[in-house]
This record gives sequence, structure tokens and C-alpha cells, in this order.
Amino acid sequence: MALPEILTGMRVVIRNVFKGKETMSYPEVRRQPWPRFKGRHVLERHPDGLEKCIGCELCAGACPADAIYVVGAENKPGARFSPGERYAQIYQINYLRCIFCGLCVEACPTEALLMTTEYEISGTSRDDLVYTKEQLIVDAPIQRHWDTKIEYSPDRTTKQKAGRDGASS
Amino acid sequence: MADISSNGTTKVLVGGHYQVAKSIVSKYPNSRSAVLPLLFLVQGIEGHVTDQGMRDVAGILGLTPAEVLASGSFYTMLKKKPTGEYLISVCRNVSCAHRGAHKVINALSERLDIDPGAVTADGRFELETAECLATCDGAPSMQINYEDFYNLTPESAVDLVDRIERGETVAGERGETVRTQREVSYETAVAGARLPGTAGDIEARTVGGESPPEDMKAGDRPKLRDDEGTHGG
Amino acid sequence: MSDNDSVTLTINGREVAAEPGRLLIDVAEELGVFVPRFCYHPGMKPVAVCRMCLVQIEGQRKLQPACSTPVADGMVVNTQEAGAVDAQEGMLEFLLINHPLDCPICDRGGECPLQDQTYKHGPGSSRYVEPKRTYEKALEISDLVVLDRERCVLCWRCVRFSDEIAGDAFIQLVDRGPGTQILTFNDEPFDSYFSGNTIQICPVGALTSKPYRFVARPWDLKSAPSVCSYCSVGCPITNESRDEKLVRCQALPNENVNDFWICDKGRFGYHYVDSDERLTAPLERGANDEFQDVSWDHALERVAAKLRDGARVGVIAGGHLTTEDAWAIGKLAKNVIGTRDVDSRVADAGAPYADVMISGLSPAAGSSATINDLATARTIVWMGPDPKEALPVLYLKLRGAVLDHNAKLIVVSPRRLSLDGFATHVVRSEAGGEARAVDELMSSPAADDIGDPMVICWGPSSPGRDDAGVVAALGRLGAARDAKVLMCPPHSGSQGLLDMGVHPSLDAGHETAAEPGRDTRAILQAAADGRLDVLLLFGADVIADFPDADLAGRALGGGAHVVTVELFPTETATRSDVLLPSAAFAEREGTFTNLERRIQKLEPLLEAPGVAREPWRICVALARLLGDDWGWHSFVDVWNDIRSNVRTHTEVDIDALSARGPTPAPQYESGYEKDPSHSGGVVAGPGGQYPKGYRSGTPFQTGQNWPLSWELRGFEARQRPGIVAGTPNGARPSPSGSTTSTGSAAPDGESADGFVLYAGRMIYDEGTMISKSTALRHIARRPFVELNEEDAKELELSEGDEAVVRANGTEARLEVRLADIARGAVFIPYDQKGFRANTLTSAPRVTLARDL
Repeated sequence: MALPEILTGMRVVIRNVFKGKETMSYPEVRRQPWPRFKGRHVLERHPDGLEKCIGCELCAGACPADAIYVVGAENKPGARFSPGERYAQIYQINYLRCIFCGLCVEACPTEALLMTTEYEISGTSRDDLVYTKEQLIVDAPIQRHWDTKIEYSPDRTTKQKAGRDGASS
Repeated sequence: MADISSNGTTKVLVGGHYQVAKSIVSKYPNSRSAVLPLLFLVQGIEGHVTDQGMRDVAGILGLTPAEVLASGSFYTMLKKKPTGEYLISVCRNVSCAHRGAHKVINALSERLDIDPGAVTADGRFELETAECLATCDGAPSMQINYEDFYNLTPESAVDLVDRIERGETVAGERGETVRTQREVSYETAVAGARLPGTAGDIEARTVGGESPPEDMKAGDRPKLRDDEGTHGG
Repeated sequence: MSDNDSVTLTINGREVAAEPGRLLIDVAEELGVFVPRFCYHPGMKPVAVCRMCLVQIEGQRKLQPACSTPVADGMVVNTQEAGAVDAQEGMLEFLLINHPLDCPICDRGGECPLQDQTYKHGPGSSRYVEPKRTYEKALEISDLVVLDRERCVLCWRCVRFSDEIAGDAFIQLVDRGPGTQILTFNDEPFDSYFSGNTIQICPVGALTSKPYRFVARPWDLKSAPSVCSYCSVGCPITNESRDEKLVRCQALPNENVNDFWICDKGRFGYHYVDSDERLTAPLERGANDEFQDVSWDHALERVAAKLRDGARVGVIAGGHLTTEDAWAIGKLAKNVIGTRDVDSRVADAGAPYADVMISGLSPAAGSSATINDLATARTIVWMGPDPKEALPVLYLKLRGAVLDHNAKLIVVSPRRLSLDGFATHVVRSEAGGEARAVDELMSSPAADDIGDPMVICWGPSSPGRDDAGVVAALGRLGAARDAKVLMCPPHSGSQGLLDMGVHPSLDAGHETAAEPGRDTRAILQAAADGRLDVLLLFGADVIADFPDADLAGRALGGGAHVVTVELFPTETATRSDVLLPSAAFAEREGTFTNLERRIQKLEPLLEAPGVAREPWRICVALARLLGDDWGWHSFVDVWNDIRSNVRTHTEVDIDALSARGPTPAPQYESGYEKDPSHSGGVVAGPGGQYPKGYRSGTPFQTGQNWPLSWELRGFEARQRPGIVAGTPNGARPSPSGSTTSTGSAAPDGESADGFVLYAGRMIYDEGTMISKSTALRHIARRPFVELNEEDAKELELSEGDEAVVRANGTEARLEVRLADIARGAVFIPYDQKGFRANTLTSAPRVTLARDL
């Protein structure tokens, strides 16, 4: 009586046995997110090397999770960090609080704050997860806790040797 | 010591100049009205309105230097930078432009070897382009230290400069001799002021106006004639 | 419909009655119709230069500026007709033509009237594509103010304020015409004691504060209303903090006290609250003479042990304590410890405050006049310190009274005061001869055509002046004219301490004590002579402030156990045996009583550092250890006790002090109105209630309500007027009841030699609190001695020379300044750079010599 059901079930099983695996042995193998994935932030620089961030705190004001903390300061002759008068002396994003909504990026008037596709944010203490300006600035290396050998494209059609995830471009 | 101001520069309105300034002030019912004549006085002494001059004016009138600067900086005839002894203002508005003002400007510019707005290296001449000088019937026209010259050609304009440079006396269209910037400023400043010992000469003429009547005392306001003061409402 | 007292007009279809002569913009605002504006400011005369407030008035061919149009009967006004709206949009488009897109970095961004009104009334987009006008950015025009001319919309507010209100016209519109800009005179700084107000009233970010530059954005700030902790005028301010640090103080308007203004000392002198030098824990002098941290229990127990068993105790309180502290200190001293040796006069030691009551000038040892009485008086007699230096906002009030209300101001002083510039009569009294000058005043030309009401202002001066004689003379003058008195004690808490009876001969409520105790000088003398067991100092830095530094030093070394309650390890504190940390004004709930006896409330904003406590809590703990449990746990408990024990304060409704008043803040039409869907929220146009979050719920949120600009936040605050305490109506004490010593021997004229010494406070000095201000501590001047030209000639001194000033065996070298000062008198400022004048002020006279 139950044979048709069993056969139907078996068909599903057998079909899936020969399908490729969805799982992968992360972290050795890793899949790149889609380009518009909203991951951890990065602070951009101008081509001349000055920071785009002017320390205006609009990101902090926009943040619904109160995850961003900025303290501005004045550029002085001899200590210039950004064009104009003001720069971010302290810039911190607390990834324990961040909900990756992207409102901060929208609020940024200088397009200094962007989101990368980097999602590996973990740490062994709370302090580790409050990222400072030195960690967020674009030329700081993105740190991973484990080496990745193979990386798949977001749709997994191509496979490549792992490199740095340069999603900020 | 009194001639040195607190910041170390020599005061402008001291001694005889201070007396002149005082008599100018006494002309006005409200002392701060004297701010412009006093600035002209400074210009007459120094050649332009110096910072120390403005401080002195402020001190005499009980204003702050900022207030003096606020009034003085509005008027283009009060020069904040060292200016030429002879200021040549060539009109560049429609009537004059149609009749070749730009040629006059170019000729003068070439003759003096300066661009409009600049002062010659020896400090004698300053060339500027002016908005309408209200002498369109004499276009193209210009002023040298505010004396009018009409119907200029490039040659006649350059000739005027040459004559002044040679030290000749040059008279404007109204017959008045062109005098130096300082003389004109000084005269503007003291016009109508009754100065002890200098009656007659100095108060003979108000630039652009009439002398006050003999019986007018310091502080008096001019009386309206009977037919004046009754503008139709 | 209308009588003489009121006219009826229609604004946006709603009929409203208004007093004739009032300005349309104000009347509309009260009705809840907000007319956009930049140049109009309620504290100044209208000029109608920004053209933002154009409204349509029926029957007028053109739009009229609401800020300079008085209301008239039958006027029909529309602020939202197409014409008016077009004008508003057009004006804003024009204003924005040259306004840079600086908002993200501008300190005004987020609380900017230009931003706010552009959102609400602006065109939305600009048609201007040409390059904007540029100037050099961020011009530092003084140590406190930064000017950005690009942002300026030429509203004249700063120019009008400094000319009209402060009388320091140092900032002006220059190069008028297409290049009009705000500027000071070349390199001369904007050197006004009131320059900070221009920052606050600037409707854009053209004038910004240097100490606050880039420190915070408005949405970072937590704020609480408070009262300035410096002088006795008691200007209401907001304290604003970021990350538990006080970062800004701004004026709150109160038409009874400060109008809209505060001085730069109050505005920029707040850094002491967050200073690293603050005491954070009780300290006790250990075995090897070094301080060690101890617990409160330990420290208090040790103090209590010393206080027990009939110890001879003297209590001195400093002038910056709150009214509650004052009540607790008085109660602790008189009821628990049982000593009458309690005084609150340190810098003003010996000031005959009680004589003001005794001489009949006032029913209390304080003012009978209010500041409003001063502002509306016909005649004012000034016998106080230089108000511009000591009571800056009162100086503005005096200036307004004379220049705007045509009061006659008679200044009696041996030296030129800032008031002389506009005073009606200046009586240059002889050195030490003020009392005689007052007596002769009514027969002098100064008394011609003076009118009533008359307000006599008296404040204590320096040892050289016979203040008791002056007050007696003023009493006679006051009786003759039925005048009121405005008594000007020096500090924010001085009057509260007097009200609460921290005075050797006064009890709380201005009752004369049956058995007067010792005053500050006598207490210190007793301590110096070893006749005291314990010296309790509450915020009293006697070494720095008491006029006789030598005596103060000997008192601390006289063997008494010295207990100090302090904010800082001052010189006095470091010489004491137990040091107890106190909470500062921004960290506590409390009240200050100002010179007109107005009680105003401080709201807490910050946490006190470490375990610092309010001084009254220390008193409570000590009383408990001494066996008297007062049962006070909160500010309200203290006030319940005050109300049931102090007869002048029985009527004080402490809740009314913190309440914002009976009428809610106006909610504005269209965009400013309350949104019914939000509970308690106000809709803010684009952006909604942005920003929100952790700041919501705190009072006086910057940016919580629309419009964000300070004026309107201020209108809410205006409804915290404070309460003037009642005056005792009992019998006046007789002169025999007074044993107040004048602190120093009255100068006896001919026999003494040397110069009569006048010492006074300049606005910026090296006082304990102000010297912590990063903004102001550099401004204190070099010490100097002011001298009459004739006297200087005799001594062969000239301007700028160094003179040796000697008094009682101490000497100082001071720069000579020739000044308009009576012969035989010299003036020395307190606490200027590197010099404490109180080393010289122990005697009423000093000698001068050339430095050889």
C-alpha cells in the first residue's frame, strides 16, 4: 500500500545523493557572499591618502543600535588626516551591537563608510569586537582567524584559490 | 610718549592734527557723525586710511575701532591700501564704453605700465575703472583725483598723465586744479570746519558742495529755504 | 471689541487679542504660529534685515516683516498665503546661495535654525549653480570664539548683541555691499566678557565656540537645567554632557534674572567639574604625614570622634555651597555640635551683611529689591564691586536700566568702574571716604531730579573700605528715599548661606542670634592661638581666599584638627587632617539662592567622581554618628526640614522649582504640532523624531523637539523662574544685637600712612574653579596695582614700572597702572597670574615704593 510513497521518497533521496553538497568544510573552504551582502564596515580613503571620514557622527546618529562611537577633532597643520577641518579622532563600531542594517552607510555624507562582504566577525572577548579606526580603515588587513584554501563564488559556479575578500571596491 | 599708541605704532591724529580733528568733531551735534571726515583727515595725512588712523578716530569719537572700520570700509573713496598720489578713474559704463573708454583705459594702462586697480611702482599714479561718473555728455570721461575730464582720446588721456608727471598744473573740466590725493582728502575732511588761523582757505570749498554760510556756528544744522522741505507726500 | 489695553487681530484666521505695541512675530508665536526668522531675537531690538519673517497683512501692498511690525486693531495677518510662503522660500534660497555645505562638520549642525527652517520653509532645491563665495575658514577671533564667514547669513545678531547689550562693539559688518562680512578690527580680538552669547544666538554656525569645537554633536548631548556656580547673579544655564563629561554650558533665558545672557566665565568655566584633580575619595593624613585613601565610614568616624565630648569647634563654609548644604551645616554646627562659631564669609570676611537688615535697608540680611526692581528703577545708587568683573550679567542689567529705561545711575566709588561710561553721575569718593560721600549724596548735584523708586546696590568691598560705615550711611539714604536694596554678596551660594544662618550673628530665616558666635577672622585667630580643637571647612579655601593669608596659614598650623570638604586638593585642603570629597554643582540636585534671594534649582547631570558626596550628606552622616539622626535621604527631605524650620522658607514649593510651569510649551502649527499618534512626541518634519534612542526622556534634550534652535528650547525653560523666598516680617533687630565685626579696623584717616587698599575680583583669575578651565585659564592677566597719577608722580613711578607693595611685613612686586582712582587709594586685583592678593590684604593700608 505504501509502496508508491516509499518510491517517491526514495526518488528524492537518490536524486539528492548525486547532487552536489550544499555544505562545505568551512573554514578551509568558504563561499563568497553576493557583492551586495552587508558585512563589516570599512573606512575609505581618498586617492591622495587622506581619510574620507570627517568625523561628523552622522553614522552614529543614524545607527538604530547605537553601535557607533565617533569623536571628532580638528585637523591641524602638520597633523592632517582628512580634507577640511574635521576628522575622526576616535572611530569605533561595536560589532556586538551592529545589526548590519546599513543606515550608517546611507547617512555618510562623504561615502567614507562602506560595507564589505566580510562576515567573519568573532572574538574571544567583548573588547575584541569593538573595532577601532585602525582596524576599520581600508588599508588595514582584514583579519581572519583561519586560513581558507578554496573560495567559491556566490553562486558556487566557480572556484578559486582563496585570496583577500576585496569587497569594498 | 602720548604719540605712541598702546601697540607701539605712532599715532596719526596728534598735535595739530588732533586740534583739527577736534574742530571737525565740534561741527556735529553727535560726535560719531564725524567718523567719515576724520577718516578723510587720516587719509589726507597718511595717504590712505591706516589701522592706527582708525584706532585714533575711534579714540577721539568714543567708538571701537571695529565700528570705525565698519563705517569706513563701505566707502570706496576711503582707501585701505596705500594708494597713488593721483587716482585716475576712467568710466567704463555704457556711454563711455560706446565712445571708446576701453581704448583710453588701454592707453593709460600701457603708459603707466599697470593694470587697472594697481598703483605705479613710484606710487604716483593709480588707475581704476569706475562706474558711471554722471558725465555721459562728455563721454568718454574720467576723473583725476575726482576732477572731471571729458571727451577723452587715448592721446589726450596720456597727455594729461605726462603733464602731471612733468609737474605741470592741470585743471579739470570745471576749472579746478587737480591736486594730490592727500590734498583732496584733507580738504574733504575739513570742509566746513572752522579752523583757528586757517579761515578762508581751507573752508573755502566743500568738495561737491557749497561752503557753509558765514553765520553758521559749529553744530548748527543748515536752515531749509522756504521752498524746501515741503515735498509732496 | 477692543479697548486701550488690547487690540484684536486675526492671524491665520484665528482671532487674538494683544497688547498694543507688541510685535506681530511675538503675538503669532504665542498663538502657536511660528514665523520663521533669523535676525529677530526677543532679547534685542528688531532690525528686520533677514527678511525671513515676511507675512501678508491684508490691505498692505507688500509683505511686511513680522519682527518689526507692531500689532494693530483689526489687522488681518496671514503667514501661510502663497505670497508669504513664496517669500520665505525665496529668502531661504538666497541665504543658501553662499552657505557652504558644511553641515556634517559644523558644530551647529543638528541644532541649527538655518537647517531647521530650511527643512520647514525652504524651497527644497536650489537653482544656483555658480561657485559659492569663499572666505578663509575657521578664523579664531578670540580665545573663545571661532568665526566662519562663509556660513554667515548677515543677520546682525552678534553685532547687535555686542553693541546693544554688552556695549563691546568689537564685531561688526565690514566691507558692506556685495562683500559684506562679519569681522573684528584687523588683528584685535573679540575681547568681550560676553562674547559667548554671540555663539549661542548665531542662527548658523558662523560663530562657534573654541572649547566646544568638534567635541560633540547635538545628538550626543545629555542636558540638564542648572544654575551657574560662579557669582551670585545665579544665571540659569543648561549643563550639557557627552560621555559623562561636561562639554558645554549655555544660557537659559529667565526674564527675571539674566534675560538671555550669561558671561563667558559661566559659559566656559565649567571644566573644573571634570578636572582630573578632583578629590574622589576621603583622605586621611597618615602616620608619615601622607594622605591615604580611607572609606567614608572610617573618615567620618574619625571626624565624629574628634567632635565628641565638648570639643571646641569652628565651622567655616565657602561661598559655592548650595542652600541645602547651608542648612545642613548650620544645623550640624548649632544643634549637633553645639557651637555658634560658624561663618560663611571667607573672601568677603567681615562683610556687614547683617547690618543691611539692622540699618533698615532690608527686612533680611539680603536684598529687598529684585533684579527686576533694578531694571525698572528710576534711580540706582551703585556702591558695590565693579559689576562687569564681579557680577557680569548684573552689569548688563544695569546698562539696560540706564540706556533703555533711562534710569539715573549714581556710582559712588574711589576708582573708575565699568559703569562710569554710562552712569548719570559718578561720585569719586576720597580714599576710605565712601560713607561720607553717601551722606553728602543727597545735597550734591547728583541728587537733582532723581526719581523714585530708588534701588541701592551694595556689595562688600575690600578691607580698605569701611563697609559698616557705608551700610549705615546707605541706611540713612534708603530711609530718606524709601529705597530698596540689592545686596550683592560675591558667590553663587553666599546668599543661601546667609538665609540658612551660616553666620555668627544670624540664625536661619534672618533671625538675630541670641548669643552671637565668632566670625571667620575670630575663628581663624582662635585656631591660630590653639583655642580650637576642630576646624571644619566646607569648601572654604581660607589660605587662598581669606583676606589675611598669614592668619589663615597660622590657623591651619595651630594644632586644631582640620577637616576639609572640598572639590580639589587646594592648599588649605592639603594642609588639613581629613579631606572629604564633595560633589560639584553639575553632579547634584540642589538649589542656589542668588543675590535677589531667588531660589533656583540645579538638576544632576553627571555622576560625582569616585565616592564624592554632597556636603549635606556628609553633615547628615556626621550628625548620625554624633547621635542625632535627621532622617534625610534626599533633596526633598532636606527641604521638608527647611520648610518646617525656616520661617522665611515655609512657602517655598520645592516642586515648583523643578516644574516647567503650568502651561505647556507652545506647539507650532504645521510641522511643529503635536502628532496625536505619538505619545508625548513632537513631529519634526523630515526626519521624524530623529534622533532618538538612549537620550529620550532626559529634560531639555537638545534636538528632542522642533524647532531645535535654542531660543525655543529656551522658551520652555523660561518657565523655571525660580522662587524668591519670603522676607521675615517680624520686628527689626536693634543695632545692639549686632556684634558683627567689620573684619578690620576702620581706617582712621589722617593718622595712618600708606595707601588705602582696594582689592577686587577681575572676571578671569586664578581661582580654584576657574583655573581648571582650559578655555579661560590663559586669559588671567598679570597682577598690577592701580594708582593715581599724582601719587605716582610723588613716588616717581610711571605706567608699567614695577612697584614694591608692602603690608604687614609682606611685600609684592606689581606692575604700576595709572588709573582714575582717588588719591591715597590703590587697587589690586585678587588672584591674577602668580600672585595672591590676600597676602597683602591683611591690613587696610599698604605702602608703595619704587623698585630699586
